[in-house]
Amino acid sequence: MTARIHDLRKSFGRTRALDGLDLDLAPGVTGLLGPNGAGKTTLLRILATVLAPDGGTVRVLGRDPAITSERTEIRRRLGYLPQEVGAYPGFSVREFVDYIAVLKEHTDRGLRRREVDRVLELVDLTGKAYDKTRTLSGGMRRRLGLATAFLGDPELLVLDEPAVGLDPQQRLRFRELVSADPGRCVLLSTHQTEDVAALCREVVVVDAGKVLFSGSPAALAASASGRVWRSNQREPGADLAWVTGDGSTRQIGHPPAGADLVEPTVEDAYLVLVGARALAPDEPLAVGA
Amino acid sequence: MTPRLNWHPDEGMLQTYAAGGAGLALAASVEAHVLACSACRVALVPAVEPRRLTAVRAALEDRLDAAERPLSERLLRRVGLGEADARVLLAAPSLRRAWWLAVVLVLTLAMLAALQEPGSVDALLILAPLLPVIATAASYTPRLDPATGLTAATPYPTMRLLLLRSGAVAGASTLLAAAASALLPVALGEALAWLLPAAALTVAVLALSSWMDAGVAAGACCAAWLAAVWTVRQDGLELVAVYDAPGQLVSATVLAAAILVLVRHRHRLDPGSPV
Repeated sequence: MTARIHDLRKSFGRTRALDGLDLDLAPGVTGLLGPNGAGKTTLLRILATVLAPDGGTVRVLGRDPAITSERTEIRRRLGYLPQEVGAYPGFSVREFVDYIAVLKEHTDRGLRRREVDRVLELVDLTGKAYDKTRTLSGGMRRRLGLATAFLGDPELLVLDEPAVGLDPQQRLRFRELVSADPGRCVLLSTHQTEDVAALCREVVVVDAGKVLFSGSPAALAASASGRVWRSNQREPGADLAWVTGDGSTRQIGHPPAGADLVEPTVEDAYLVLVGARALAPDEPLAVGA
Repeated sequence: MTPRLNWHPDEGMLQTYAAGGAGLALAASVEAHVLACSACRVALVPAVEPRRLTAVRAALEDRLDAAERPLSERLLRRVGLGEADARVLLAAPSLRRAWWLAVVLVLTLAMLAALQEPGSVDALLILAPLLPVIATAASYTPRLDPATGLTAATPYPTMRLLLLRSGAVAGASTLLAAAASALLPVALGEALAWLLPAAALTVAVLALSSWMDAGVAAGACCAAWLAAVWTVRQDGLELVAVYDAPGQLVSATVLAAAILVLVRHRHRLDPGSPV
């Protein structure tokens, strides 16, 4: 296992962001789904060693992040993309990636130069290498963060909403990028269920700081079997319903007898698990949650 | 127009050139020729050792790299700082134009206030110790450092990062404030008496940051300083009384205590460290 988490707890003031969460991470891409405030970012920050938990046990790459020397060792083998990617506005794209590479102990200048070129090429930012970071769009800034995460070809990648702001072409490139090495462990949080279905070997659904589901995307989709149907109008047993492009109403909930059941998708199963909270507008969140 | 070529280097010449063994005259001659002669360029390719090509390319990239580096970084390297440390310092706000402008503006206003009312140096004496305090907090508080999320997950030692950056901004602000103080119409010793309180307050900010946000810590230290100034004023004393021997003794004690706390609790400055 690349990471093992048991009974993880973290609170911000009186808000409990993680409440006894258990999780094992193996090599491959694992998707983390959950509504806003579910605790995804808190979990990722703890795994990335930039936040200490209040309780529970965490082992990352076989090491304990609570011990300073082991935390440093984890950081040597980790790539992290935070939710907000900030860069020094006066730095060029190349200078900024080079700066992070320096902090990641890439001390040989020639090798570092080639490594910076490599990661800029990976995220398609070679053409912007000499542009100031302040001129980048949101999507490009995301790719800049991804470039820094890939420095040193890390064994573990922790990516917080990596696909936000990427256009469809870039999203495909991103999928190719994170899935290229099957031996690497990638944990990514997302609100895009189609990314999970297309990319992930495992999916973990969290809500209120606990794991609601852990398994393959196919198993998640299958868990909603018999709960999704379509008809001409919304029916009383529907928890959620929407009119689709073909004019029929797709419904999730408790179908009436004889309903026209359809094969559930990952998104349907996620909605069954998380329910109306998944569609609720942003609510007040815990700091960092 | 393609130049007429009267001669071609033989295979031996090309191999000597490719191995780096040709003298200056021969190398220049072969080089000028292969630039113009595509047949000899093709003939040269198998003679070039890939390892030598890589080394030449790396050396060229190093030269390009050095030329790209800003003057400030080259200066820092020249005074003996390692590359990583120089880069960390360059990312500090002290080396950003806006930061320098803000510090100079504040000091200019304080100087103007002192010159408007000859003999009154209160504004500068109150302000001078606070500049490095605010600068220190601004140099690494996550709210003002846009790259905190990325840098916190790197193996670069947190304590070293904080000390380098806060040292850079506090040092720069102190130098400017000292230069301004030296221009005041009072004795130099009196004008620079704020240095020890400034050092005490700055290290106190770092020490308190192990428990609270750096901005809150700086606010607390500034408030403590202003309270001390207010107390002196309430007692009907001149402001400079805060810099007298008892005041300096208090500052020295605070400085020593802050250093002790900082050393003992340095691990708490790492956001990933359990508290």
